[in-house]
Amino acid sequence: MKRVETTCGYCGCGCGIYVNVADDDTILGITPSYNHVVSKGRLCSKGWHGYAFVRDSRRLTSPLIKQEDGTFRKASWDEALDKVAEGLKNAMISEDNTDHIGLISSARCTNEENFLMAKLARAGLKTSSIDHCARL
Amino acid sequence: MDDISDAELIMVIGSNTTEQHPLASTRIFEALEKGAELYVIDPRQIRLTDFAHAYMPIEPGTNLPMINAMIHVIIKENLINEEFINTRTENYEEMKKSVEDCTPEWAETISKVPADQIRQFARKYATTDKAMILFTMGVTQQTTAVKSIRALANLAMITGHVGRPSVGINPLRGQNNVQGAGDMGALPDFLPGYQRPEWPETKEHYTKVWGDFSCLRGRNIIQMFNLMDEGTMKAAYIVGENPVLSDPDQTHTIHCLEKVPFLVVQDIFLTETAEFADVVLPAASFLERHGTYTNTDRRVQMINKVIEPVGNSKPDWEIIAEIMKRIGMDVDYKGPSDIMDEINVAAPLYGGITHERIKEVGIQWPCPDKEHPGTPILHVGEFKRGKGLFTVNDFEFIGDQRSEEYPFLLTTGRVTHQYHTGTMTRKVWTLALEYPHGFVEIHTKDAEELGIKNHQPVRITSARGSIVAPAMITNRINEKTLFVPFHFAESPANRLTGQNLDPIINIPALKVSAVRIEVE
Repeated sequence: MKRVETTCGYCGCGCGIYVNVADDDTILGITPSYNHVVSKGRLCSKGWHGYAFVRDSRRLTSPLIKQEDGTFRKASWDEALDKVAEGLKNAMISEDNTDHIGLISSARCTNEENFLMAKLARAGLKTSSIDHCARL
Repeated sequence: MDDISDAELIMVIGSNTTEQHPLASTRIFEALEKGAELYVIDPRQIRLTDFAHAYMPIEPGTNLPMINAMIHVIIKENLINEEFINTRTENYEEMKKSVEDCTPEWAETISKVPADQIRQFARKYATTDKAMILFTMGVTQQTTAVKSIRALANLAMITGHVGRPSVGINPLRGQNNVQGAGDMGALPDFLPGYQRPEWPETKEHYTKVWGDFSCLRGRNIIQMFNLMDEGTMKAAYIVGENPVLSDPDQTHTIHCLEKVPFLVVQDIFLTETAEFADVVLPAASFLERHGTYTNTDRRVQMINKVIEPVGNSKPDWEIIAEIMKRIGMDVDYKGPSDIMDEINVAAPLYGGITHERIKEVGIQWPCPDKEHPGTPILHVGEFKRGKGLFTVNDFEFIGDQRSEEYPFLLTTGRVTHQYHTGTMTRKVWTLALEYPHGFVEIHTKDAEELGIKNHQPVRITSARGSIVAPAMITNRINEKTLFVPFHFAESPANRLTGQNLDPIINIPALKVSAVRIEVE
């Protein structure tokens, strides 16, 4: 068994947790981080229990592409990413695409990921239309 | 967070703290144990009111008149902090004039909070040394969002409750990294590090870091959807968001998602939004990758990979970087710490924050260089703009009001055991068990009048749409007011909410919708 220290992924409090993991990668449970500067060993119900979705059978495990009949089929990463790149490039119809391409980033993603989204939007796709759910 | 524990008076306005920021609320309880007083302002008697010294049952959407009336009382009774006003602020006289007629009696007619209570509370707030205001979406998701926050700033400044420990106006940020997403420039009107696109130095700085880039004020979420509706928006890429449940006016949202010619959705589950995508990309969860989150204290903390990505999913950063390469950008990130190195240069607020430095304890930005210890309190000694500016914030009704057809006001929100659109928490059985389905709270008197019984399915209808949910009868909500949590796809609160926006920042008034309710 190993214990990995990390930050809870739910609300903006940012509590410290240890995730206990068996050798076969099964998550066994959460232990609060007793010395953590924010949470001092306390956790709420989401912090204690909120990890079980990780192994839920409904998790997306493969890229999906929509077919003509409206249903999805599984696709390889290469095929899906090429299709995404092509679709986005096709929408780059002006020198500046602020009105043509919109990116919605996530308060659930890391700082590093949000930074890449901002860079992809402004420096890559030449659109200033990037936002996330801060208003919602 | 330690600041909350040391406060002597805590004013909680539009925040259901025990349910939405449980750990922040434990700090409120610490303060109460040390003798602090707690005042709660909310249309519902949230759990915190059981511990409050005073509770003000305010009408949804009317924070502003009440705050202005408090300012009026403090000025009238000369409880202001003259030294602070003279040395640290400007435009006081103008603001003073604007609240001259904002008597507590006037505010009572709009906000329904008794005038005497407003007076008493204003006195208490002004005369307590460590008086702190905590707020969340109950203040911001209204058409008067910006004005209300500016009025709170006026209130804090006339009393000098700024820039010291345990004072100030403190928004509790909702989602784990909503602070960081804004810091990193996932906003149409800022580049990373809150640099305005129209500042000449922004263009210069980012051209150096990124080369050629789009340096405009872009469209926000609400405007993007409107552009999809108009057919101008040709492609959208949505990462880790579920606007079908979280955005106002669901019928409109779905129509727009159907209309946009190319839609990519990246998420950990096939969400209600992903159903409309042309391509769906499977992302890894927060336990399956490295990186940093920034909490409501502006503290940047590590998240560490606990298990390998499930199935064939990938961390979001890897997917985004792959797309960058495939549209022809020259990038090569070996891992999130490479990206943080670039952030250090691009966003000076994060200049000295590296993965190595925050391995043990997070650092609070601004942190301009690698020797800087971080900044626990903002605005010490001086405001960011120099002098604190008093503003004039006159109240006017914009948006939904009660009418003959829609005699109730609906306010939306969350419950403890669920998170946002329930994508994760509804799949955790221990949490789902606590709140398995949606509901609508209605006052006992209103329920009796309409012949509604507890747990009976009722239909709630607004000008935008209609949902069915079981009734939950309670005395802990204002009369002629309803509450529906928005987590539940089968009774989606946001089918009822509308596009009444704050005119300045375009936040939708999710907390105020006119509706009617009837037995299904």
